[in-house]
Amino acid sequence: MDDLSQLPSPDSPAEALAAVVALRRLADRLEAEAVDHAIAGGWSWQQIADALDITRQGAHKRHAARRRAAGRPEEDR
Amino acid sequence: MRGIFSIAGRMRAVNALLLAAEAHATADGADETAAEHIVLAALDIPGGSAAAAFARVGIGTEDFRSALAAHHAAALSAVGITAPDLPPVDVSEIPTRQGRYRMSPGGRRLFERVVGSRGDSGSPAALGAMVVLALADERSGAAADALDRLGVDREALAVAARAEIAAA
Repeated sequence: MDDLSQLPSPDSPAEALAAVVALRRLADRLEAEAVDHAIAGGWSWQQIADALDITRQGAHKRHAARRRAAGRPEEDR
Repeated sequence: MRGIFSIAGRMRAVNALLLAAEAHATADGADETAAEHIVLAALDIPGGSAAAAFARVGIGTEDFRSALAAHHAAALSAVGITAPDLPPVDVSEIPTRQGRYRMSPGGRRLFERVVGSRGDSGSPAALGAMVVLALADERSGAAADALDRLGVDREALAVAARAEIAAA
């Protein structure tokens, strides 16, 4: 990651708010990628949930259906 | 008055559009469907009236996708972050959700303009161009910024969309 101290100018709130949207979406995409890599590396849903600091059910709900549809089923560990 | 079959056809087309838009939202890392996801779904319809309306003003589907990517890259750049190269997501692989549609306020505003627009034949084929007509009125957000980046004349885009609606 680059220098986060490089903040948008206070007189351009549109720029700052667009950055927030882009960051949220980037974080969600990174989460999906990281979960796929973790599952491929043999991690359990509980381990993934612990690492993300969310419940196991929450981790499963966010990612299991997406992974099944992408042809990446895994046993319910 | 529209026949019951055309109403059913339009409802099926709307449902398919919104499910496809949700897949675009998921691929984009968004919890809710935003205006740009509805536009992307409309542009995905093969031989559809949305892509045809864009073509009338010299814009290709890929141009719009690239402009959206440029919007997000510029937004990240403003806080000193270079967007990483993530593998592309195949939206056809994304499951459709059960239950009601989850739209952002911006997505809902665009969609309400689509279903509230008058003067179309009710043909399901017109739906994509109706999305483009609603897009031409967007003034803020990623979809509006993408149009600005492409230098699209909003009035010309609206005229193009109306022509495709009339032809559908």
